[in-house]
Amino acid sequence: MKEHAVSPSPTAEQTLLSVRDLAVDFELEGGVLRAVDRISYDVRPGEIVGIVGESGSGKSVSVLAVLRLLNVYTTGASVTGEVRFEGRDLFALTAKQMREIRGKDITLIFQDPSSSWHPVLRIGRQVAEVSVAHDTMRPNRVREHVEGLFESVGIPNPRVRYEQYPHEYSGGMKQRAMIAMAIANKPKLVIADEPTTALDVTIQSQVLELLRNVTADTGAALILISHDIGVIAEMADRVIVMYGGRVMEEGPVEQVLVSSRHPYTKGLLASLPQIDKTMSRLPTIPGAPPQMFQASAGCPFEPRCGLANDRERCREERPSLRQCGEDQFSACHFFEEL
Amino acid sequence: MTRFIVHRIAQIIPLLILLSVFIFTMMHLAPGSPESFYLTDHYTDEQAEAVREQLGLNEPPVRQYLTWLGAALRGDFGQTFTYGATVTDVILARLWPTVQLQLLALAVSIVIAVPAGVVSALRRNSRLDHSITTATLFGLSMPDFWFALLLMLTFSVHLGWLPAFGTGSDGLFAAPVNLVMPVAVLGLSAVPWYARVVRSSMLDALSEDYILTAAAKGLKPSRITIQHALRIAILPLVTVIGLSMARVLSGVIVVETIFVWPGLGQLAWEGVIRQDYPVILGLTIFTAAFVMIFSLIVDILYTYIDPRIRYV
Repeated sequence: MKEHAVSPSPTAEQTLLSVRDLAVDFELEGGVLRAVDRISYDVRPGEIVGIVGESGSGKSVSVLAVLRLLNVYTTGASVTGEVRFEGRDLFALTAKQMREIRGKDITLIFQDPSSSWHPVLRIGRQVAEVSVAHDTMRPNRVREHVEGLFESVGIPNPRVRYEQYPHEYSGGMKQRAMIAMAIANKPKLVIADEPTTALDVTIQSQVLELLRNVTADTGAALILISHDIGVIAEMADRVIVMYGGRVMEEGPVEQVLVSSRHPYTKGLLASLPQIDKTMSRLPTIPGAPPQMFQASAGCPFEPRCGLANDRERCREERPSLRQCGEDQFSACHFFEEL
Repeated sequence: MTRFIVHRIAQIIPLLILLSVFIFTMMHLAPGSPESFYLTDHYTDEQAEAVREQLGLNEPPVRQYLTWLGAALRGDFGQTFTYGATVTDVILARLWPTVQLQLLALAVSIVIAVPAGVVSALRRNSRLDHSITTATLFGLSMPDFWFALLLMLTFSVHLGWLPAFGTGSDGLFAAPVNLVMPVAVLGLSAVPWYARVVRSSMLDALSEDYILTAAAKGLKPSRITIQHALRIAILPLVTVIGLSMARVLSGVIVVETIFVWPGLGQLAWEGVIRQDYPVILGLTIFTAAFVMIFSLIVDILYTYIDPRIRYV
């Protein structure tokens, strides 16, 4: 059964981004590594979609593949599948058409603000560059525009800050400026890849709050990638749980968190510390994430799964995403048992 | 910053004095003696003694040195043994031809090495990259004098297109046809070093996160390459060029001698052959001072091209 036959399929005008059967293979010396294994999902205008999973689950790679950024300066990544943005097939666009979308309609916020800024260019100029490159601002108005953006993301002294270099910014401020750059051209989709992972806990919530506000103000949809299910719970409308390069479960965030229909999601939730319980030890999921050199014929979570019970079907047959609730989908053969 | 500059300049004088002691000792330990330049094949001891007396070589070496140092500290580097002029005048007369040669050579090497390095990095492991690597290795392993002689043989002897020696002009600037070969030898000999530095620093830069940021902004590849990657990759090149200026004199000795170019390199060669002590000392001090001041300028320049660097 093909996945997209059963995955949520809102009508085209309701869908901003539609990803179908996206797969990413890396050709390495040890063989072919399948980092993303035929995932499908949709993003509707203005909504916040959280993608959660452990490191190595293919979250970041999948969004870089969507923007065709994997092969910018690396080689050996091959991407298959289909990605449509506002109905346009992104993989069929010319390089120039793709550039016109990047940084304008779809923007990216990266994980590590200390390495994502060019170290010897002024921050203001780096932000201005994105407007100049897309011709969305007249050159003589760009500076004013950027200073306005700085103000709206809570960077004090925009005039001074414009002239400063990344090493004169704190981590939180760098990420605020990154958000300013991401919304400079009023994008329709912002993708934030672990935007707060490198920040202090106290700064994290401020930056998330800001991210929520600016996307709400501009009407942009947000894909928020995180390994922290707590962050997703707080921010997202819908959540996609990834494991071993595949989508394990998908649905409205409160539904997935309260009544998950997948053993992996359940394991993730169980390993969260809870403020109202005294626990001497946090529960963990036994085993380690899979080595993806040999894509498993069955379910990638099977070796660590408490539900599989050595059943042959889990080992042999790839589970497809099946509807398991209103707008909720699970890739488990036996979710009914949960 | 000011403190840094003052501090660095204050270091220059003691370093130069130390260097002059070293050079002075080496010169006097070297076999042969300066007076032979003035003497015919058959000379008497009295004649030799007279020349030595005249050149001041009969004084004890320590006194000779101190006399020289005392004058040098007042800016007087003495009379040459063999040129009939003061050391300062001889050096100044030879300075400009060498500067012309070196500046043009530097321009040539940068103009060739930077694009070659960038293209190599962008097309890593392509046939073009391999050809450039092979060519640079070939260039690295070819001695300057050999390359110079090959050029001379081809373009002067066989084809007769280019003059084999001299500046070809009495005016301020050397004749362009006379410049071609010496500039080619000097310039091309630096290209392999520079191109390899640019290639590797460019590869480093291209794998940085901020290049992905630039690509995600929808910038054109040319802008990403030049404004973002090369902006960083150029920093190590500046360092290497600064360091290579330490070879500014040794580099031109061979080339100027082969092409009979009336510059400092030729002067150094002549000075050593004739054992003209004041010329050797003066030229060494002059070159060393130039190298130190140039490296200070490079360090100061660094604060402009890399704002993360601040001297305190």
